[in-house]
Amino acid sequence: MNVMLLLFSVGEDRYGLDVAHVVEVIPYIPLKRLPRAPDYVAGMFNYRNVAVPVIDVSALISGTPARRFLSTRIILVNYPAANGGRHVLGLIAEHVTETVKFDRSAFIASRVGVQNGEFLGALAMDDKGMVQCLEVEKLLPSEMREVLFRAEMPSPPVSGASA
Amino acid sequence: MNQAKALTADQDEVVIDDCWNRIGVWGKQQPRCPELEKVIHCANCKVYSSTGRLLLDRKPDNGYIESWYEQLRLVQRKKDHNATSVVVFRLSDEWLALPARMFQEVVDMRIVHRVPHSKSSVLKGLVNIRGELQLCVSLGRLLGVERHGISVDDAASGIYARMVVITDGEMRYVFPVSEVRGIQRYTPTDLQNVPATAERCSNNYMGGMLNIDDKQVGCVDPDLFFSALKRMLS
Repeated sequence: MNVMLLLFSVGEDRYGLDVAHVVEVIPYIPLKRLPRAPDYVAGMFNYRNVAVPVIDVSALISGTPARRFLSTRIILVNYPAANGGRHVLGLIAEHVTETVKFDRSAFIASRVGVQNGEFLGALAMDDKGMVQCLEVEKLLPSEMREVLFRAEMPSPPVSGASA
Repeated sequence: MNQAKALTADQDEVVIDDCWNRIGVWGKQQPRCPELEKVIHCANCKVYSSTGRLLLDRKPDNGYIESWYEQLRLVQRKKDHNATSVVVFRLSDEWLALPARMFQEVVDMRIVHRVPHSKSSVLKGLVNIRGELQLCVSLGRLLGVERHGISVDDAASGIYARMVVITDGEMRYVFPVSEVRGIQRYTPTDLQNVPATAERCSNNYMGGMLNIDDKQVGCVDPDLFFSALKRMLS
């Protein structure tokens, strides 16, 4: 069983994202900043008439924001909503230029747990070194998830989803 | 030797070892790169592709970012599965359209060889299409479109007369047109009725009218068209 990962890099390290989550990969376009949000929340933009929040994955992982290269892209992913639906979430990442297929058996579970790093998943090896998977579902702390997606809920939130 | 250079995002020049221009497929130096035995062409080599990726480590220019910003703002048009495509073309002053699936190719104008003793008013003769002789017909005569003949190329305005090859699945026919505009998609709701006073087409083969860029385009009904064509050729 193969998994295809969309690769990106943070500093010198390589990370991957299961392409099954990916909706679209777009250039790093200007964003509207969100005041008083953590540094890793890069802002929002108008994606086909929906305000889509964008997370800077470089800032989230290493604390340094992504540089504006041609290869720095916003990866739009499907993010599970509190009410069971799907939201579009943007992830800014550097060097989004290739996809690689990995066999599922090639993954090794990461035994090193980092505080606030639940989104860092299994590791895979190839000839260029290690690739760590990003787990999209665990990317945002629950309170952040409520803040970012409250604005775009079209209908009154389901009970339990109110912020 | 010229050294290849590239600019990074910080506008620093970095020197690139363009080995493909020295010992690779674009170079003549000896000895040849040993990797070529394995990869055959530099395009398959990791050195070449990873150096190429450096081009993406540059700053994007503003026009690129802005055009994407605009594009992503727009709501995508829903695909309509009832939509069909027609090829729009011009016969002298009349804009006409036939289903795109019937079109085999659009070629340059070429000589029509007359058929002796042919009594058909529609048959113009035979033309050579890729070494095969095909029937060349006059669409204007068939449809009764008033015509001043296919004029010479108006190359200055980018208008070229063409020969169009169509098929009904069995036979192939060729006919000259004044201009081929291109393929247009439409849904059945875009189709308007043919005006009751469609005077210029004495024989009504129109399935409907389309308004494309303020031009009234007559959509020819393919079934009526082919049956009439066959009748007039036999």
